[in-house]
Amino acid sequence: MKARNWTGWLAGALVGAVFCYAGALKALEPGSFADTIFRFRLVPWPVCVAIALWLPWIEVFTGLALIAKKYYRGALAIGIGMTVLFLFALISAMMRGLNIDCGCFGGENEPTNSSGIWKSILLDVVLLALLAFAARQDGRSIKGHE
Amino acid sequence: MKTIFKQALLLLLLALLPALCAAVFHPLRPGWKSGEVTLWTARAWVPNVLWIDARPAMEYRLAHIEGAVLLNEDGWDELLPAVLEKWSPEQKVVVYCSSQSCAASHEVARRLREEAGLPEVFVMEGGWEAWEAAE
Repeated sequence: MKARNWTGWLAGALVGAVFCYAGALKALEPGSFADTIFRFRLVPWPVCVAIALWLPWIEVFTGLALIAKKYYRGALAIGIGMTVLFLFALISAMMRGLNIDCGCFGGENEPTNSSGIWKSILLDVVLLALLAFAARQDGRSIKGHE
Repeated sequence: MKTIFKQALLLLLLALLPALCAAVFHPLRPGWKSGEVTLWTARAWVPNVLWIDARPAMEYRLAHIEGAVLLNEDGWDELLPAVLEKWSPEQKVVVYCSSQSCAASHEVARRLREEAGLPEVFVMEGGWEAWEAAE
């Protein structure tokens, strides 16, 4: 495997592992996760329920695809889309002064302070950067073959 | 571009299968109505739960969930102080009435949120009937 491919895969696999872990934790307790989503006050309750049931599994399958490098580009697109959505939700919560836990890894819905939200935003930015890097390396390797 | 879309759609559909199973079978699944929780979700919160029995006093005296406090619309003003005294901020409040069809628990939950200002108030799906069936 060329170094370019290898580093791109590693970046994607790291994000994949985080997605699998976070998704599995949330899939264990969809009720608590629905409460967490509801606290962001972005969508009505039934939508929170649908997201709480579906999103953890999207994370798990996307994570597995990134690690196994199967359906890779689709997984990269979903990963980037999800991370952008998470960032939007966190930034909007912070701007509205909501004192909430991000719920990124399940959790007990404890109120958090602004530094807690900042840490979550930072994590999402790192994940997004890694996904962008993986996508770039993948694009380059395709061009290299052409 | 078409490949990316196809792959993404496939992953989303794959994720939909366990999600649908969870919607039907997961013991800690959320209720579809606002603020409703299943019996199992509420039980998972123990000991940080304050149970509120919204049934008539006579039914409460016959049997109730251990530690539950009586609070119904008929005796709201007299019963509310005891609830507030027993509640602590780390607790979630779970209200139940007789069965899935009764509306008392929703009304009591709404008043606890709006009038008493309690932050985390939920209604237990199925009420006392579901609790007894599970016991």
